[in-house]
Amino acid sequence: MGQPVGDEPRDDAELVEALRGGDERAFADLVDELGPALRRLALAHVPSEAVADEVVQDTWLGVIRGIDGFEGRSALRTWIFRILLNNARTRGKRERRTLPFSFFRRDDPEGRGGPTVDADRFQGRRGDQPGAWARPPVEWSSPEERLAGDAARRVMLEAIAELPARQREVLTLRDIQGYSAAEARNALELTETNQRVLLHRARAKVRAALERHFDDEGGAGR
Amino acid sequence: MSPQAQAQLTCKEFVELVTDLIEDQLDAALRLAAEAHLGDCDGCEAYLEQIRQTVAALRGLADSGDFTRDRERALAAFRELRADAHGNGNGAGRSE
Ligand SMILES: [Zn+2]
Repeated sequence: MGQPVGDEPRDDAELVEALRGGDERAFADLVDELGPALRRLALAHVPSEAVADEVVQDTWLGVIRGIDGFEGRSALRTWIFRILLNNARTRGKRERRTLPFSFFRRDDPEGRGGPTVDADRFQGRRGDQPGAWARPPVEWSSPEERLAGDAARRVMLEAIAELPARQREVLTLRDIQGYSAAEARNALELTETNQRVLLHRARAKVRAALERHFDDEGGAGR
Repeated sequence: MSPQAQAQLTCKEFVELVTDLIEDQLDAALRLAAEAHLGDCDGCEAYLEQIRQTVAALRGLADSGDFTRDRERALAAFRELRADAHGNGNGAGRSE
């Protein structure tokens, strides 16, 4: 909880002073701490590793150039994530226009509203037990093995690409990168509740995609 | 999200609580209701388990490729734009 990884996080004021003073060691620590998460968040918006690399590099350039003007109104790390997200969202929009297929096509960035599981999975008002499963999920057989496979991996990546942008950001930091709720909330400037709602919806959609995949594959036994 | 905690949860209500349940954000009454429902419903038990399995599988996507090049480029830019500009200052941490 609290600070993202890194053994002894300095407080912001000290770190900002070090960066302004050209302390390369302090900068390297920051790059090591945030680099993987920044790269992964960039990949949540742009379609290739090469573009993600550029977005991350532009972010560090923004930090290096902007640190003198950083006023500390937000936490240093929140500021860095904000620079990255602005870059990544802008780049993502531009790249999307040039893509032949529907990569990241949602317009509604939060995608709130509506149930997370298809309503037709449950009994309607006239059923014996309204709101109970009509078609319950069936335990996945040998889930560890199948979930680790290439096919499942592809299904997850496709499902993530289909998520509304904010859901994709939260899922990326929380579940792929392993950030705590507090870390993700600070990085993405979300309220605790909003963070959780977005995560909830995103996870449900990835699960549903896996379920469809396993159904098609057959072999979901009990 | 406001199923009355007193009443029994339906499956449709339960699935909307799984994240709050996993994140330990349910108030005591709702948590009890959710646990009571779980104990009595194979479908919701499977659903919750699949959400957990999904979360674990997502963590397996964490290999974000090669980070060393990003790192080298960032450090090079820092050296060029900052360390040199302040190079003879107080000797703060030039590590190479
Ligand atoms: Zn149920």
